[in-house]
Amino acid sequence: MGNRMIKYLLRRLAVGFITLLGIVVLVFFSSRLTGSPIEAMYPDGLEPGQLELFNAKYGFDKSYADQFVIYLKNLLHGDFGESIRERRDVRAILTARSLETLRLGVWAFALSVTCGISLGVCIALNRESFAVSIANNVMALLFSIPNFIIAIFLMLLFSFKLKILPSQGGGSALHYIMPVACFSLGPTISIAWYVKNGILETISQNYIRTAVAKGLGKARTIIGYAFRNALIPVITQVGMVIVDIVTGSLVIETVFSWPGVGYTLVNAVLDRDFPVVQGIILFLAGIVIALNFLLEILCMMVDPRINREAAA
Amino acid sequence: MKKFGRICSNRVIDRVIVSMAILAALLTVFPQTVSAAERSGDPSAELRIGVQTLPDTLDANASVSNAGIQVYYNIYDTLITRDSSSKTLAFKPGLALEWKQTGEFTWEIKLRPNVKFHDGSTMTAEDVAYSLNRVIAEEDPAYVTAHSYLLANFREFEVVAPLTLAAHTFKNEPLFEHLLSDPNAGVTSKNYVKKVGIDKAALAPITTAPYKVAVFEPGQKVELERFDDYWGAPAPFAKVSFTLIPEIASRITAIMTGEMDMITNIPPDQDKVFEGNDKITLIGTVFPMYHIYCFVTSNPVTDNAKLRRALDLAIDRQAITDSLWEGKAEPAVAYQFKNYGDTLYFPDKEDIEYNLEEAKKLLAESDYNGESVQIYNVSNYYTYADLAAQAVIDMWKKIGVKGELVEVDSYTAIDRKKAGIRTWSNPLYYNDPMGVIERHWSPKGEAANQKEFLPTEEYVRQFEIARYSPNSQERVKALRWMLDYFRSETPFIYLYKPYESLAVRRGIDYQIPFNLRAHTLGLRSGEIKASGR
Repeated sequence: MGNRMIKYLLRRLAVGFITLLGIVVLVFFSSRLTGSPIEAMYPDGLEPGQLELFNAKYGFDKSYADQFVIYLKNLLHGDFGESIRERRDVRAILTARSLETLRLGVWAFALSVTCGISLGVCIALNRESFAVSIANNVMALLFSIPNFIIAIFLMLLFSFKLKILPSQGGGSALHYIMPVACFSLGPTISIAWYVKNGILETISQNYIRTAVAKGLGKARTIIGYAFRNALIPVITQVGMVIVDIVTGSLVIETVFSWPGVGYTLVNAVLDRDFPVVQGIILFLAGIVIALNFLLEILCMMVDPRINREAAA
Repeated sequence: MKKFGRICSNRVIDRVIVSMAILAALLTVFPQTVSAAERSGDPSAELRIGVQTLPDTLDANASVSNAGIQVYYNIYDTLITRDSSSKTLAFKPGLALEWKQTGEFTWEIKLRPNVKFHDGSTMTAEDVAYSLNRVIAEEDPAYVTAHSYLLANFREFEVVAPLTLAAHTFKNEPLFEHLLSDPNAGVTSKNYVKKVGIDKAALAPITTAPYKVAVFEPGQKVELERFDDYWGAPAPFAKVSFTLIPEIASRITAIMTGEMDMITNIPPDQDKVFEGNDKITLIGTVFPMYHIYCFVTSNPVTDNAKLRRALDLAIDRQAITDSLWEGKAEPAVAYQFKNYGDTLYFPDKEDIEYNLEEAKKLLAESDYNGESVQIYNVSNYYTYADLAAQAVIDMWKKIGVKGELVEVDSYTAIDRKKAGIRTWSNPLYYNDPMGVIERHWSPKGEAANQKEFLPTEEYVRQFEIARYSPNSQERVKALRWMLDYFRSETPFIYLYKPYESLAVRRGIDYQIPFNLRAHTLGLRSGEIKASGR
């Protein structure tokens, strides 16, 4: 990796950092536009003088600018603050809840990648069969349905009607089935499409025709030659699966009451628990920015052409 | 399959599968798939409750809420307890063995000896005095609520001896037992709170109750365990869990699938889901609470008592409860609760009526000029409040009053310059008229502070007598005066007492406890029993 490449990556890193700072500013001030977290804690109203006491305790009696400076100072020391609702460190909440999301996310990621790639190759191999044309339509239909609709449908069928799967929480192996299925459905389909399209694009190339002419056979040519070259867009898409899981966690975890980051964020927004909202959004944004950065490096390593373009 | 095998043999896919499977297996530590009760065969091993709301804090002094009372009653002991099996109000010794008034403003309290905290230490008068004095001193802003409605008349709890306390009050206290038997006046360990701080102790309190807190994940679950060194009868369950399931459909599914043994907050329109299901029992109850309309009497539209009275008379409460609540809620007939007992409930003051003629007459005598009476409602807070408001607005059309429903997302979004009315609830905190009046219609209360309720000087005088007089006849006289005042001034409209059910699986014997606050779940000895599955 040359000097120009290192410079390019450092520039990308700086852009990522500025983006993160922008998010901190945006989330800090926009969350405060929603109203007081103390009033959200007491929907029936507060006693005379109680709001002022709470504001003094949590520093909400200071100006927004002062609050922001204090927040930024603490953030630079790795202190995300303390949850107003849960009365504990936001870092402890993040650690516990992100592990819960990871439990689901790893299964969803594994399922999406393995099923997506397998399905994509299968479709490419049998693209002219009747079964594949039906499968393509079914996939298009499933892809267009929002995952919370699918989640509710699965819950009604497997929990309410058939009574074979638990409907909420994360107590056992059975609890994983429906949320993982919902998480991985969309990414599986999109990976399958990318793999299929990549392979179909590659097999029209001259070197593939040469390989087939040599008598290697259709399947062996596709898996041995076409698949490798179709990988680059798939790598990007696989990275996007993680982003899908991160963003999808807000909906899926809420529907299944799964105690992960998404569920916590939704509740924190409803409760106006500013430190938790700020902490989780910063954490999620950090993941997405870091992921994009890593994907860029990965793509450069896999395809030297991208490397050259970036350096230029 | 052959093709699929070849595809899967691709090294890239192989690596992905293997590494993901290892990571997933490492991350996923599968807990038990069945409940402790099912594993052990002992039905009292575990009780799993799916609840609509969970408290954010387990410090009972810090939260006067319906969400909190479900849990606090079971994890806090109070000095005095209410007999939850008696249909009439009866008090029993709790952490206090005896209590007596020794002076006009002084009470002596003798504590029960050898009471253990969950950490093994022994409870003394220091712990009791600390628990209650910190509320009086408002050491945390959250204590202001409990101070205001339970301990406002208490000056100090003084330690006299290791097991003796003196309670000093500002004025005479005729409601001593009522106030000190509320779980929000629960007792905690002084040494523990001093060691970890108020905020940390609120997550894992150390008390003397029959259940101790094992796990608390705010916004998710509370897990309790039986405390084996409890001074009284042991808790009926070895383990109790409260799991937050906000959606009613999910709660119902959870009990149907056997994931939960009990679920709470089932509105009447869901009762039919359980029809014909012999594995689940519905236990319905009309809560000691009224859904009400609080007038903003400082608003120029609703500042006229005749208009307010006319609006009250024009509401057909029976029609609302029949249509919205399937006849299960109880229309208000008086500004009172029968829970007060015979001496303080006045049947001759059952004077809430539906009378269109009288309403029209009063309206004509008022200064109403066709303005819109705006009803402010916090969306999705009180069950069916929006639908009830629409029905009420329709009823008001019959007397020529224009109503308008304004939905807001929080209590603070209520604009009192525009709002003529806001939706509210008036729960009964203890079985005395002051159990509802002091919290909601005190001259220093929140409604008065917001200039919604503008009490007259005479009201303030009568309130003082009704609240503090040692003479029961004087109290009765003052209370009757206040009911007449509420009638003539109509600072609020009582609509109905809401109805709700909870569901329990077959094999659990449970009934709604008596003398306790609405939404209390009685899980102590004698209140619930698991006889099988």
